[in-house]
Amino acid sequence: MGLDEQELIRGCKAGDKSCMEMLFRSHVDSAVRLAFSITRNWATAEDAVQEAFIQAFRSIGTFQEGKPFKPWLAKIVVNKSRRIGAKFGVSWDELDPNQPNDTDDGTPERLLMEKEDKTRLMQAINLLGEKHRLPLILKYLSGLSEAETSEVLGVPITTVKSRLYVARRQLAEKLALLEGSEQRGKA
Amino acid sequence: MEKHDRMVPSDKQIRSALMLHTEVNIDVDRMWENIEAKLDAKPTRRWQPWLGVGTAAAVLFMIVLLNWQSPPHPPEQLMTEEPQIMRFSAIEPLSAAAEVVGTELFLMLTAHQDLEIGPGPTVVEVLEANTLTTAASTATLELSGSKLMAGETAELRLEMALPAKGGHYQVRVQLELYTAEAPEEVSIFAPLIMK
Repeated sequence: MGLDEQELIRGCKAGDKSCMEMLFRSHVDSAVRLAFSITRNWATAEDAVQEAFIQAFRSIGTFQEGKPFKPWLAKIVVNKSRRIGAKFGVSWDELDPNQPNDTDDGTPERLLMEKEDKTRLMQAINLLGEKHRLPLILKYLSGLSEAETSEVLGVPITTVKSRLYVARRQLAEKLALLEGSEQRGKA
Repeated sequence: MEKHDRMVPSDKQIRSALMLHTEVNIDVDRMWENIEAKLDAKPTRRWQPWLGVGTAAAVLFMIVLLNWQSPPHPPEQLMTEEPQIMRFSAIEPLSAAAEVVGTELFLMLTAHQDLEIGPGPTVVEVLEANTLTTAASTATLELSGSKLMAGETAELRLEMALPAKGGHYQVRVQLELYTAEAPEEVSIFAPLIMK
């Protein structure tokens, strides 16, 4: 890339479009994944991320140099996704745990089983309430530290730790429920 | 419970499931073109263009009013609460000024940074200055999605029941703001003098 992130940010502050584009390209994948995991819809996620980048670049002057860009952007993406998700009435809590997965593509049996496990785990994640799901997504999908997650969510780090702990316990319960219902379905 | 313990997924499993189910499926080039076009475009101003002139006139009017008429000394309790209100105004991304025009409450909201008003209703309440209890009816405004640039002022005229008695009051505006930092519920205060 040539320029490091802080140099790109300085360029963005100076209004350099090529720096903005480079910063956009290096963070768009992670931002869209995050937005999609909140809105559950590609078009909505795309809108949320576009709005988030526009807001980020317009207010880049307020960004504190020396800090990582990712948590700052994540905060904006979360806010935009929540707002747009709320506008279109998307609610993860209403997700159908038996929703079919469209990623099956005829892989060998072992890989297929692994994929099924991941799908079941994803269904379990989707069944969590937002309070517990968001810290999980920010930590495992966006790769933020617990301190950064606490900053994004505006809650103390101890709250993030406890929500992550509860989230994983709840995941185990949801997985057991999903497994149970699958077995009952097969019987 | 033991069965549940066995099913607690590992970090790697959670990460892997999330990555698999959020595989990016978008046109990055088109997205950048859209962003670039919007960055080049002038920010949308949903507020009327004469707001700047109106604000300047209103500020001038307030200055003249405050210098011309020496208002009665506020009670002791108000004096102790004033610094708190000043502090609110200083740190909020939005500040408010209020006055009564005819039978309406004229409210001016000035942004101190780029912001957008959140989806919740904006609640305007006139409070007793010394007790901060409700002095008149409450009004609800629909401002969701409205954007203000730093330094921009929105002027609003509200038809609401105002206190019948003259004196000092506080107008409290409760709303949800989206700034670059985070969404936040804010309460901002504006002094109001009823003649």
